[in-house]
Amino acid sequence: MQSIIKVNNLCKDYTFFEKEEGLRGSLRSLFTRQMQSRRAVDDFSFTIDNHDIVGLIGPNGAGKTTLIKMLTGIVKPTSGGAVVLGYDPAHAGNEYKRRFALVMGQKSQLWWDLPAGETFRLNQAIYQIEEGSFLKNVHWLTELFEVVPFLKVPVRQLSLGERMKMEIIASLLHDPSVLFLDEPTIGLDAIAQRQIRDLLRQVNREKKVTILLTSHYMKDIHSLCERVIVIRQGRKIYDGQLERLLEQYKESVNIHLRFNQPTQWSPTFSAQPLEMDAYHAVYQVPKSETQRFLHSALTACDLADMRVEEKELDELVETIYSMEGETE
Amino acid sequence: MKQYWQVLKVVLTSRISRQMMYRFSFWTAAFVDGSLFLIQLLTFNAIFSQVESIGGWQRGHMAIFVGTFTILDAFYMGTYFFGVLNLPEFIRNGQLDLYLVKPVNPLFLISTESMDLGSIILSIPGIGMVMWGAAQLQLPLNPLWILGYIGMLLLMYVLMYCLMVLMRIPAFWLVKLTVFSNLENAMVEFSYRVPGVMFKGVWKFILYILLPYGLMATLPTQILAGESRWTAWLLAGGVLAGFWYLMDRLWHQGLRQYNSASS
Amino acid sequence: MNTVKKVGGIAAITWKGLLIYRADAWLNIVFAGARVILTFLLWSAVFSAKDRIGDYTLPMMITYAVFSTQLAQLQHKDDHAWQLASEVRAGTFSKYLVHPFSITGHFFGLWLGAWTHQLLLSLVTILVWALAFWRYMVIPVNADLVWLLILVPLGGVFMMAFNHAVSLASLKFTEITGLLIFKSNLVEFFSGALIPLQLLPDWFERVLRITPFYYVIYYPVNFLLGAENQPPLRACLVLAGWTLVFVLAARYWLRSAHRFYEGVGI
Repeated sequence: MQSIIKVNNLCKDYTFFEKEEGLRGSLRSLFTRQMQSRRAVDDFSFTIDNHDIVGLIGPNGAGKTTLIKMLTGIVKPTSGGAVVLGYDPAHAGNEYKRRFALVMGQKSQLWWDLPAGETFRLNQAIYQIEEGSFLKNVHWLTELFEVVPFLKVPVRQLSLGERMKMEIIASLLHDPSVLFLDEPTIGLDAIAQRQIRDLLRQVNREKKVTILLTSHYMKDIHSLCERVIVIRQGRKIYDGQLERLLEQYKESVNIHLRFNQPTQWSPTFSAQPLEMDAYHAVYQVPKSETQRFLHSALTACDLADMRVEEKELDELVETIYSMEGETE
Repeated sequence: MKQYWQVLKVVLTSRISRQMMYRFSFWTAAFVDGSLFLIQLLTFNAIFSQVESIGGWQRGHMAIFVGTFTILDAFYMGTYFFGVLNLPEFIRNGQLDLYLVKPVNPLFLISTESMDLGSIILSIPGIGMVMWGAAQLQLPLNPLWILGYIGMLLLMYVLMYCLMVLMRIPAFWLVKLTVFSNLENAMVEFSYRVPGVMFKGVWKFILYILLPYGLMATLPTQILAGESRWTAWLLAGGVLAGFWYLMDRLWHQGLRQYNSASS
Repeated sequence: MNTVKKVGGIAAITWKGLLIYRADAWLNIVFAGARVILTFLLWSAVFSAKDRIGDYTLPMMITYAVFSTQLAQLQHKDDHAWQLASEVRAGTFSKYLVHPFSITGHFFGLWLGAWTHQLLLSLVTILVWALAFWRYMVIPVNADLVWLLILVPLGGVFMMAFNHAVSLASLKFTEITGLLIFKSNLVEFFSGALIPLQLLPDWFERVLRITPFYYVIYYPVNFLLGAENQPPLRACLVLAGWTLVFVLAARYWLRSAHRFYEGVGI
């Protein structure tokens, strides 16, 4: 596969000023100000192959959006560089802009007071899309996204989910080779989130669009991306298969036990009791000890039921974010 | 070029349908423009009915002057005014991001996407006033003079655009800048009321070259009244070229500085 | 007491927000001179042919300009009205409907913060530019000027109530940008911010006297110049009466227009 996004040692610094709290602080800041600099992206390198869907995950303020803004040429890097589709985003012109699309969950390109169709027409003019291909794309995408009935409804009267679908359609009309998605499912309900995920998968498959996606919803990442890049405090801490990353952190499981009669049982090895009453107990057990624990529980107790539960995806990610050092 | 015409066409039709959608606002727009014109006229009349002539200008000149500014006002309000007005807010809240990734000049898109062609109707009473003034002065108008007047008006229309954008570009550095819009309001208000011929010495230099609002309606009036020839064109061309260059330079400098609001 | 605290809290936050932008604050003071200078140039040219226009001499006219432009900056503060209208359109107005505090009270707090901040800026600006132009100005000082301490805040409160009531039209019509600009144009003219109302036809000035706008800028500045023969108590009563009218109107509209509110966009 050919790499179409190559990022080399990208860095971005932001400067800002500090303000003391309270009215006195505000008054003082009229005269003097303490300027600070913060590194939002630090020595970041990776490549993405054609037609891939890659997830970029990290806690709030980790630098995900800044990275996407540098790859789309919105902000210029402080040092380092990137090549996307053969262009340097920091200096590329309209030719490059015609080849990618950006969807930001928190910013809308749709005209608020008009039906989304009007924005589609504006994009047709901006991207110089031929009428035939424009109509074909509008037809295909609106059918796929099931929004045909809403094409004539002003954007302000659409639900958040419908609006986001329209955003994505507007950004796909010019057949971009790369799609940057920054939190596309933010604020959406579970059904709308799932629909958007399914649609993106289909678009990636049928239109061969390379997708770089950031999301706080691990379900988005899990169902769309085989590969993830984890960013924390501007630095890359993991780049590889999502499953492999998750495996690394699945070091313990929760085991639920239900007893037929009141039971007070204490396992002899390193299992942490999480909940406990006469008829019910939950233990956190190291993965390597699972078998020994189950065996000992079966022998020692009169069990009505037992269940082994792996950690939730979000819980795992929380652990990954809070770990120190690199994960590779 | 074709791309820009097509964008303009779509924006125009969309804007018209938007205005139809908010019927209340559609009708108030007419009142807004009409009331503004009436107020300017009343104010101007209240001031200048007190004296017969100012700086060598007669009533006829004054009528052409006010009419010219009204035409200019109608055209810039009808085209780029509301779009450029959004610029600082877009810089501040990061909405500019979405314009920067489009393969079209972002400034062009922002400037045109809030067009409000209804305001152009206001140019009709403006034209009426210019004609009345010309008749008062008994100007021997010929097509070449009229063409010259329109040409100068066009230059001033573009100059006004440069000034409007320039007043908003500091948003890249300052974030909040009511000072520039206040200054602009004051300058526009007075260029409706104070003919450039009133300015002398250092004031003339400031209001013709540094903050050239003094030129806006004065130069076209002088061209129509046949009181100025190549010097007016030289002045207008030079000032416009300078401000266009400045706008372009600062805009690009601003973009380099642009960090965009987080997410 | 609780209400006063809440309003004060909102006003204090508004103040802090405004103070962050220091370059803007300083530059506004400096560039306020643009209006003073332009007015000076305009009236100097007009007065070169005449000694007196209406009851005004050139120094009186310059004084009128310096004070009326700053008073206009102060009394025409209508950010709260624009904010309300834009929040209705964007759907974020809903948050006020669930706050345990009156909507009018909230916007009064916003206005109070912006108004007092502007008051400070205007006083400094007047001081700076009055010092620069003192040779061309005239201020007859007398004990009656204490009335201004009542008249100016009362004018501000009236304008707040008026703008608030107008902005509530957005609950019914959604997009009211045109209406707000139309209102600003009219108020600017009727309040005497553009020219002293005396220069307008007599009958027009007489009609304006029964409107509150006459007392927002024109009256206080003329009173300062000693060129006003209407008693200040009457001015205060007119302003207070109209404030009550608009407060009640806002209350009524808020109740009846609530049902039009669509709450979209959140």
